[in-house]
Amino acid sequence: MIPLFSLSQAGANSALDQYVEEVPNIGNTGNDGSNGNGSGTKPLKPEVAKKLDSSGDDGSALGQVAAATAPVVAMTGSPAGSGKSGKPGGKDSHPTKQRDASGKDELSKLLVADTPGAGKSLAAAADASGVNGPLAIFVAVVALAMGAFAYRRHLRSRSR
Amino acid sequence: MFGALASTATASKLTTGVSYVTDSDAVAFQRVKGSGGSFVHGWVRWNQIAPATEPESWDPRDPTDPNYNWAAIDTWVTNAVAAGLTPLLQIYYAPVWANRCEPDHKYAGTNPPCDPDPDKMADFGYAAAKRYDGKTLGLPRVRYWQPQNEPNLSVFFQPQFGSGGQPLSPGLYRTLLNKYYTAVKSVNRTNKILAAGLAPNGNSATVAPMEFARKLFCMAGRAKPRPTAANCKVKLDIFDMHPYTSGGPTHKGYGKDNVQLGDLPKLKALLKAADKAGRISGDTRQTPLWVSEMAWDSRGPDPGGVPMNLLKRWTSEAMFRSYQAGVRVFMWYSLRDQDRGTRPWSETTQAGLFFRGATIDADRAKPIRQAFRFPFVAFTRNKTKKKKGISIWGRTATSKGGWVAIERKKGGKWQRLARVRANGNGLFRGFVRIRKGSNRAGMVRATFRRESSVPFSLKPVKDRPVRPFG
Repeated sequence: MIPLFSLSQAGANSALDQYVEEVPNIGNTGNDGSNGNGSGTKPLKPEVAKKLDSSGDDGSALGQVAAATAPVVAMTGSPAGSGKSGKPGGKDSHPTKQRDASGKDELSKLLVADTPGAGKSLAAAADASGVNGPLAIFVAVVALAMGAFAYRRHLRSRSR
Repeated sequence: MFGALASTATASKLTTGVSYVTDSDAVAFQRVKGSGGSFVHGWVRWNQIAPATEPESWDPRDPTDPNYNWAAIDTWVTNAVAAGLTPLLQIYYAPVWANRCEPDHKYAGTNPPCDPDPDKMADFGYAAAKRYDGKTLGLPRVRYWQPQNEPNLSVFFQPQFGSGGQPLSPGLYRTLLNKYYTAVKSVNRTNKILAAGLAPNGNSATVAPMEFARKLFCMAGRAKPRPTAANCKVKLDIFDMHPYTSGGPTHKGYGKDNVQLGDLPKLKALLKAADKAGRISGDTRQTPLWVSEMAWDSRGPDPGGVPMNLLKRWTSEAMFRSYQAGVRVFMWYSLRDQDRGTRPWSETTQAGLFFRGATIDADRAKPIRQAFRFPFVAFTRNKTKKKKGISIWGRTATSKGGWVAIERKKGGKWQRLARVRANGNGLFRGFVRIRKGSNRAGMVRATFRRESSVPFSLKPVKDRPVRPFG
């Protein structure tokens, strides 16, 4: 290591980052220069992904959420609750939940970017409450079911 | 209550030391000694001792050449030896005129050598070894030398990779090391050359240490390293590793070619294979593996560091795990916490054995200092179904032999469990049998000549992810 007092300056890349183990993020290769180490994301089956893609924007977004929130089997190198940030690859970095500068996680970004209307409000709700991916998916499914049910009742009442 | 079985210790030894001792004050070296250390690791800044521009006429192999300025290192070496320590000097960085390429200054404040000229490095190595040969200007002898620091890290050595992404640094470093070795050995055959001192993790800017070592030794194969067809030989006496660990003492690196504490056995296996294949030309048939840097930041002062109670355990256990892997020299990174100034905690190291005060005299010893001075570990273990007990390992604070009492806390008092004989180097280990049905939890410690180790909990502690420097 040697005298890092002269290496590290506020606001610059910290040389100490080079001593922190990198755990591959989604789609990254392993940190040993090889193609990962066998563990990591579990992608959607092709047929499921295709189904989601063909079901419009919402489905496509859900597919991306599923890929983005798939579990990573590894220690993160980031102590739970360390609560520090401020530099690339810093203490808030987490392989399963990457946050951008505004504090939005992958789920919120995907919903905002890819879904109109209800998706945006879901994203806002996710932002506000900090809900995670599976919960948001559950809420979306319930909302769709309720909508379908209401629409059916509406049709029935009109036919009478 | 307890049956006790004391085993005989091996004839082995574990020598300790402290690296990153930046102060030249006598008190700094006394504290290294007081922490149980025999070695002190310092550095020779080639780019500061040599002139900024290469003189037209000078003798770079002459340590008394007026273009050199050795004043700071003279004081450091003199005080280190006066304190009874063995200095290990590392040459790092390079003057700009010795570089053969333009380094990438990705990290502010750094000045990495870029393919430094091996002949110029060898000349400087010769001059330094000559100055501290014990016969020049009344200066003490320095026997242990290391060319460059962490040559697999872009902060300290460039280039790491070629344009096609292939690792370049191992080959460049091999050439540099071989010439340096010949030069320093020509001053005194009993000088010892440490190679590498590799950083633990590979990434886009760093060649992973196992890959670096394989390429350095011209070996191939992760599981069963074997020599490649290349005709190569690397000259070194000791191989050095810095296994900064992103977890506890048994933690293995995520990358297959990373080397953290839990990975030391695989590096030792590679070293053994390289020795067997005749790739290493050194003083011994079995090249020793050293750890000249290892530490974690402590909480406090660093709020992101390892909690002090856990760090006490990890300090002793890191030494034990290294010893288990065949390491016989283990050095702790830094005597004092780094001066933080206005920088965030995460950009400084707070891994010292001492809390930093306003002056070195105002420094206070951390609780981990005792764990480093008198390492001791104890784990419950079932040798057989009937034979249950505690495995213990330790080294006395003074590295002296004799009877060591193994004690266990009960009802607020320490009670003797067994006595173990430490060998002439202070090393002891054994298996203490415990009566069936008795409690196998609690704290255990070792006491030698009225000095006790840090108590070690028998309750297993799970690995957890940490950033080595908070």
